[in-house]
Amino acid sequence: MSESEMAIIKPEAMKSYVWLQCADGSIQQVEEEVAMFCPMICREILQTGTGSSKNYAISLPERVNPPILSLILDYCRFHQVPGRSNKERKTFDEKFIRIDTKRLCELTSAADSLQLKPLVDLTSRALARMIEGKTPEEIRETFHLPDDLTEEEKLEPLKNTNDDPRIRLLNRLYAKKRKELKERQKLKDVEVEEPRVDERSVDEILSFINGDGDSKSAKASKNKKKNRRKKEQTKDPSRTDSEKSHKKDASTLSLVISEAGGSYSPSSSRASEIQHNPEDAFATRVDFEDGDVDDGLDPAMKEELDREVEDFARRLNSDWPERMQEILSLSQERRAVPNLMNGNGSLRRYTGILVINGPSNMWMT
Amino acid sequence: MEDRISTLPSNIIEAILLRLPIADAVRSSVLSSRWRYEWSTIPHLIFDKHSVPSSLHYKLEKIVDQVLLLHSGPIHKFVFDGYAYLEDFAVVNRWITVLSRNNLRELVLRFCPDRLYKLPSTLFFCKGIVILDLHDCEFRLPRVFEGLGNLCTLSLENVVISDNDFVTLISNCPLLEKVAFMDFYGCSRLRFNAPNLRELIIDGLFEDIYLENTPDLAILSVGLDDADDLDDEGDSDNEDVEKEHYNFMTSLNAVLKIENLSLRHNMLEFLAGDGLLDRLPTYNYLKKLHLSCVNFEDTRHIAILQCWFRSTPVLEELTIEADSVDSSNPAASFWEGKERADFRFNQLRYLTVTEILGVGPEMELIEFVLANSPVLETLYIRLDNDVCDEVKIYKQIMRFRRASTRAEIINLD
Repeated sequence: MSESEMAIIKPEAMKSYVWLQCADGSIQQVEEEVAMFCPMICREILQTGTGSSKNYAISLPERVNPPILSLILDYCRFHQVPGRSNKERKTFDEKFIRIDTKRLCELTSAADSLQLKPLVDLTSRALARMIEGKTPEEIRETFHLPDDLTEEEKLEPLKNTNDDPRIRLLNRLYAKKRKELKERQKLKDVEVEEPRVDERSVDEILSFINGDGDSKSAKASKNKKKNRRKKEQTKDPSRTDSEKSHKKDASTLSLVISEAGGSYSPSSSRASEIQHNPEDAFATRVDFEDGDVDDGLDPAMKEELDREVEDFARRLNSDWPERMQEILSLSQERRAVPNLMNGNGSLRRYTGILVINGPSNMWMT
Repeated sequence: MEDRISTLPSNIIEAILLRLPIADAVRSSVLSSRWRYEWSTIPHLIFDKHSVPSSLHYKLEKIVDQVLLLHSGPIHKFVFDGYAYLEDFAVVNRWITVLSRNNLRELVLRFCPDRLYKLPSTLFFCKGIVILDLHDCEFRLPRVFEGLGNLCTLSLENVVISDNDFVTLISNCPLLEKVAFMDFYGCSRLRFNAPNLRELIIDGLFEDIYLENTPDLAILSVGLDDADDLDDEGDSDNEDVEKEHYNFMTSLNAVLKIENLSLRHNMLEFLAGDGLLDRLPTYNYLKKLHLSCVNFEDTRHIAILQCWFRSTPVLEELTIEADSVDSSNPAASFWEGKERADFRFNQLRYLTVTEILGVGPEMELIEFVLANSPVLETLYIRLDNDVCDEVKIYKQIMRFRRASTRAEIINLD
């Protein structure tokens, strides 16, 4: 029997096979034409000549475990056949990725390590579809992501601070403090005094800021600077009447700052990261309402001032997540309320956040 | 439960983020610490209707600003599809400055059609740019323009550009393969010195097109808009204009590798003014021919059709959009007393004839093609809306002899 006759009668006998070895040591024999569909395997065969026998099996990357390998081979077996229509291929692909999330991720990773680009495209598109239009909570649930960012961190990089009235308030305060500092420097008054605690003012200002009579109990804190500053304000002879009328506000606000500065420490390691966030730096420096921003301050003092102001912002924000939680818990009811802003269901759900953080958190909607 | 997706290598996370609308991609930063900065290095930034929720469109500029500020690393592709009204184009200048420093390869800009954006000179120094797709813009090349050495695809729509700038732009982008030029103002004599050009689409009002150096052109589609405003003053310039047409004729004679040709709107009229007939070379690669606004009662149009048929021996797809004027000349015939040509459509597989009124020459054409196309697979027909007696026309067509046994007739109505 000639070779060609044999090929006609028993085509499978003519097929050549390659040997593949997974990281766990298991070895299997695969039709060469199927395995060659993976560029990584193809390269091994052509360049190193491995795979021809069980003893010289091609070692697959660690990310390819046996069950995933068999999935990948299914994919290759289908797609290496020439002449399939696009529609057939699409239908196959759609069915192929109907697997649980865990396996889908493993498959993506394995396909990547085998450089099987069409499969990487297919699976990453499928993963993207699981994320698109979903809320962070839903995504975390789908992929079992750890919720390891604090609420204020979540808000930090995305907020548009210029539009936020709280930040405007902060900026006004910032400018005012710089003025104070400058004046103090003029007087060469650099004494350091013992801090005193004033919890009543903290309460007061919290309710002032929240505007809702927030009954949160004041946290005992170690305030370092507020009294010194209060004293200076009263001492300061250059103060105008109008400034005096704001004195209470100013001083109580500064209490909050020092209070927050003293008690805030949930993620101090990340605080520096946030401080170096360009957007953040941009936001705190731009949009001053008082014109008297100046240089020539003691850099160390300036840094301290910056830190205080940042902490103040964070302290303010730290109340918002609680409010957000309340609103989120109402979201089921809100879903039923027709929303004129957007017909999209997933957006509708987040109306609460949109209302509260609307200007500051454009991406949270 | 273990976190599966975050253990994926960064390139996969990037691949996933790239497939998300920008809003979702940016929002991924709040998922977890692992995802916090992943989005900020994605190389494609696309701002359009799909990728930004409609509730945020009113501050699209601010969003783009923020994203560019937070982004780090190369930005290969930037798309701003500004369906939203931009208060001030200064922001766009700012973006382009940022982009020009970040390895930009593909730029798509679209604004409101009624206000044009004057492109900043920075753009013309983005040497790495490969794809430019600009709408609603005004071009003024910098005095020193060294060309865009990597540009392959140029698409301009609703733009203002002078003849000189256009020539300079095209001839200084040596790798240019595709050009689409639509709704342009300020230029009317388009010259193409583009040795690698394969695809050219022109739609607008022009006096002439000169394909000076385009030896590899494979796809050419030209549509000439109505010259409403110019009609009145046309007479005195007539001679000039006709002389100018000469360049397009010369150009057609030079693009022998053409595979797909489409002449739309007033192009037949444009060619008819020229007496080109019998001067076309043989196009041995031309497989698709599309002619629109064919008036079957105008002998010049019919002469052009016949001329094209004779020059396209390997034609596979022929599409004719009729625009006949009914019964002005009931005696008109497709062949006008000429002997029926001896040519056949040996490779024609698809014939599409649309907007037909059923006037004599139209029916003659259909009859002729059916009788001389041995491998025809489908004849697609759509009648003009004004036709009253459809049945009569279809009955007539059904009776025509078909050289191809496989030919079917499909009604597109």
